[in-house]
Parts: sequence; C-alpha cells; structure tokens
Amino acid sequence: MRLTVKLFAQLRERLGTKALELELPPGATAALLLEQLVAEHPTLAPFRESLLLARGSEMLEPQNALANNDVVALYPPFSGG
Amino acid sequence: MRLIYSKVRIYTFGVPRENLTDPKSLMVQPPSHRVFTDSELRRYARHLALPEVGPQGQQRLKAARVLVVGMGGLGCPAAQYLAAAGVGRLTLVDDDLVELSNLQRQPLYTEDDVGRPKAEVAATRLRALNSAIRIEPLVELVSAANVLELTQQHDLVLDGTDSLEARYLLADGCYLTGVPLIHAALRRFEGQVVLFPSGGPCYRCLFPRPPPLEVIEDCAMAGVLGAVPGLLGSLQALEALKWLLLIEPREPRLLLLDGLAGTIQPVALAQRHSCPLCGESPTITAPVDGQVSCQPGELAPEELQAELEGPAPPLLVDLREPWERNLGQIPGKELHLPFSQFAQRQDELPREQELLLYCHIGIRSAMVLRKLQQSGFRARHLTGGIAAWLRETGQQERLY
Repeated sequence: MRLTVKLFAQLRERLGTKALELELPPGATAALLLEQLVAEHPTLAPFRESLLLARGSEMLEPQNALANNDVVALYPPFSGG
Repeated sequence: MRLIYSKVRIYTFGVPRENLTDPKSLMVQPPSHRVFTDSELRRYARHLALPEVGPQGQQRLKAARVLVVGMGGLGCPAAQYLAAAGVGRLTLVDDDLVELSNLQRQPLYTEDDVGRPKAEVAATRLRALNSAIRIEPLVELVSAANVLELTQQHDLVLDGTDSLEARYLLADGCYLTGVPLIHAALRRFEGQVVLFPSGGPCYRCLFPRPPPLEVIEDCAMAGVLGAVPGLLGSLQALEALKWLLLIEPREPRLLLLDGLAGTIQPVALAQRHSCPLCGESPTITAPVDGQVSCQPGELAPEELQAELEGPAPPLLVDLREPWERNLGQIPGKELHLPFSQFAQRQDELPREQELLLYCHIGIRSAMVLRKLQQSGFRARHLTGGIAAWLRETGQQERLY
C-alpha cells in the first residue's frame, strides 16, 4: 500500500521536502513506517525515538495499523521558548 | 458590604437573564459572591459577565497556584495573562538575566532591565498589573534536585523553558507529582501547545526520549519572529485558564500552530502503552539531570583559559556567522569557519593540530564536533559556547 508522509520542522530541512511517498506492505503499523522511513533516509535516524506520528487529528501509537492512502504527519519535539 | 442596587447588578452576571425577571431574586446571593472586594468586581467584570466564568470561576482562579517555568518569549505573555486574570498565586522561575537580544520578543522587559534577573523584573511588572495576587520570583535553574518540590506546591505548571533538557525534566516532575502541565514550544514559525493532565498521557507519550544533542537547536540558532512566542504564550495561558475554570474541552490534546499558514491543528493524544514514564512498564521513576546525552570531547568554559595559556594551545575554530563575530570573540590563535559554509570548507581545517570548536551556545559546535571526530580530526568543543565563556569571565554585558 502507498502512504504519504508529511514532514515538519528540522525533518523537512533534513530531507529537503515537505512530503514524500512511501510503499509499505498491507497491514503495516506506524512502527514499521518509521523503521522503513529511517532505513530509506538515515539522516532521520537521530530522531527515531523522538517523533510524534499523527494521522489527521489522531495521534498514532507504534502498534496502530495503517491503511492505503493514509497521510501520516511526523513532528519532532520543539525546544525553543 | 453595602448592598446597593447598582452593585448587586454586577453580581448577577453569569446568571441566565431569563431568571432575572423578579428584581427581589437579586438579593439572594450565594456566599461565594461576597469574597470579592468592589475593586475586584470591577477589575474582573468582563470575566463575571462570561457564563463560563462568573463569580465561582473567578473564585477558582483566585484560589489557584500556578508555576511558570521560563520567563522568556512564552513565559512572559503567559504569566501576564494569568496575573491579569486574577490567578491568586504565581511562581515565576528563571535563572537568566535580561539580555538585549530578549527584547525583540519579550516586551515585558525594557532596556533598563538588561542585566537584571528576569524572574524578579517580571514579578515587579506583574505586581504593578495586579497587586491583589501573590507573585513569587525564583532566580533558580529547575533541576532534578528541586523539580518535585516545585511542582507539588502548585495546581498547574506552565512550561516556557528554552531547552529540551528542561522540558523533559519538568514533564517528568509533573507526571511524578500528579500535577497537570501546559507545555508550549516553538521553532521558527511553528509551535506546539499541549495539555497534559495528571496521570497521563505525558510528554514522553509524544516524544519518548530526547534526540541526541547534535540535532537539537534552540531559538538562538534557529531564529524566531517575536510574535510567534507571543501567540503561543497567549494560547498557553488560554489553555491554562480553561483548565482552571473547568471549561471543556479538557481532554489531553496537542495544538500545532503553523504561523506561516495561519492554522492551528488539534491532535487528540493517546497514552502510549510503551511510554517510558506513564506506560505499562515504566523505566523512569525519578527525575534525572543530563538527559540530553553529551559527547566526549567537551571543554568547560572555566577550563578554557588554562588551555589557551598551556604549552600546546588548541587552534580556536569560530563556527559563528560573520555578524556574530562583530559582537565579540574569544582571543587566541583562531580560524573562522562559519557553520553555514562548513560542508564546503571543511578541508581548510588542519589535521596536525588539536581544534577547539566554539559557537554561540555550543549547539553548532557539538554538531560539527561529531562530524570531525568521525573524520579522524583531533577536536573538542566549548560547552555553552562563547555565551558560557562570557558569563564565566564576567562579561555579561556582551551577551547576545
């Protein structure tokens, strides 16, 4: 199945794009999406344990199943104040 | 208190108007209406007029104890609105002094305040705004040693700090003491405001562990347009007041601000089963300092002078941009290699000499250090950057 990954903040700058497409096996979870994304884009590796994944207005947990055409947004923590 | 009709009319705001047909009913007031002075009734008239606040809500605000950590771009507007709203006890924590570079986004301070402790200046300003509330300034750094004591003395905590280290520590402290937290943080034009109720979900449900130091930035490095923290701090105050007033929605949620698009996207939060703090098998049971991992190859600012005067002084490498160098440099044999040109000009660095990298606050230098160490250079970096060295050597007036 095919998903769209939307990137924010430093993630966007690291990959030089606001969004990308990702091909995942049917029934893939949010954890697998993250794993595959980091494998394809190792520059995201430092953020592996520090990312929020959201689908629309819903936060995704690692075990949540994804569906074809899902749009998943990835946010790193912000530190500025 | 004299009950003259014109005053009684104020008391009735918040009561549905259709119930007010009999003027005699106005004389029957619950005791809670009497806890306010006439001056308070006038001051909070616009709150009393709101059905969601009214006298009971105003009394809730008066009884509330709120801790604001970080009196910078977020803490200033947040604390101003809480003080103005009549939150009875405010504790303002910040160990920093006002710097000229703060005024661009922290308009609570003035030019005359530069060099004075932020917490104390802010407390003075807010007391002038509302003398009927108690405001306690604390010129302290929040650490593992004091975070639990601080949070448990309050009903609600606002995080307006400027480092991930402080944010994780405060979030852990709030969860461990069962105190709700309103978190706000920003980067350039984007921001996050999150309500974490006691009992979870917590900050680590969103971001389980801090990323390594070399990928962390702050406002000094990433830059920020002053109105963005102004908006986020106000949003943080709004979430705080709604929480104290029991106004719905009170579900844990994240508000994502995109200041360029002009949008706020809410995201409902879920408790992460694997959360290291509030999950099924927690591994974090006490607050810990130093959660943002440090690199080998660090030099503390107090050790710099001895290094530079030693038998084999390292070559200083200033990674700052040209405009920053006009504001001051560390004296010594040096090379200027702006961070923005590092990738193209890395070959200019000598391999035969030990390098001492520095930047403004030690973030860019930490990033470059890791790359150089991987490439076989002999390098260390100055922790806290030139800012820490200026503080160490009593040159605070040159901070930027």
